[in-house]
Amino acid sequence: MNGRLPDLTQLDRLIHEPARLMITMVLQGVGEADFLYLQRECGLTQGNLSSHLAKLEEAGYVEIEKKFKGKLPLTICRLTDKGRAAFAGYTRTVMAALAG
Amino acid sequence: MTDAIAPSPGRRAAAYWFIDGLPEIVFGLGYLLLSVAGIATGYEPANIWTKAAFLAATAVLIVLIGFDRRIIGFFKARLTYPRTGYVRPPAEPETSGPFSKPQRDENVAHFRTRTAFIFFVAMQVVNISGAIGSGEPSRWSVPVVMAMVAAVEYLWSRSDARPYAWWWVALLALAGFLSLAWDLPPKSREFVPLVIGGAWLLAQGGWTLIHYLRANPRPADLESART
Repeated sequence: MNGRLPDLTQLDRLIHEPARLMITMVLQGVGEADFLYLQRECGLTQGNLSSHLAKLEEAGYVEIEKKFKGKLPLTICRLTDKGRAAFAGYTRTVMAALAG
Repeated sequence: MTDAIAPSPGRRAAAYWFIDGLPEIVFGLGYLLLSVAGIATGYEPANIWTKAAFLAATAVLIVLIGFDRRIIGFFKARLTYPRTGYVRPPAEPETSGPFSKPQRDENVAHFRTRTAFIFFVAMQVVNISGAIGSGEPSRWSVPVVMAMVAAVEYLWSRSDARPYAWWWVALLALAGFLSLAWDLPPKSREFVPLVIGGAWLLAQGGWTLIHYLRANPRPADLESART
């Protein structure tokens, strides 16, 4: 049996949830994005995305900033250092378990 | 005009910068402006107005190259972000080597340094080819240089956020050959690559923009259509 399999029980469940994993992956790759872009990329409804972002923000993984591009108000989301570290840890654990 | 959509979030974000065609339109217009003014200076007798127009067009292009992100961002804030959202624009590494490839998930594009700048280099090559030979660019220098530009555009774009289809790049070489029919003063020939490049970028950007606007109406328009 793969010795790293038990580590999977230690996975960060906040990130492990599929919708939040998608959001975290997108933000990790792009740096920052607004609500509309995340909605399109992740294929989530407005309410669903809001609730998942709120959970990630509550955990300190994501910071949400209201700013303007020209006259357009944008809700910009980005991963915090804590969020990046959590995602890196999550990736390491999964990869190690898969690699055996 | 593109072969594939980049799969990872970072590469998708880099490709998203080109979703509306605005980068191509801005550079295409700048190149056309400079090349038209440059061609006018080749006709004799050159007067103060054609020289002034050329200087003004050069200044516009310098501003455009220096502040392209801000100019494109200004239009995107009004056109693109309300429709399909904002994501951080891709970084454009100034010092990356000619064959460097972005990492699998990097939000990076080489549009300015590779796609757009090649036409400027082509203009210089045509100019230099004249200096080496009889003193003025020959008629055949443009088709030869444009065929090389087409090959370079195709090869360089393979690893970029926006890979070009072969037929779209082949139009550059074709336009280079068709330019043989254009009876220009020798002094004006160096600007032909810029005319072709500007028209090519503008056509591509315009086509992309029309499709983008048709596929993504403004949210306010959607709301009014529903009520």
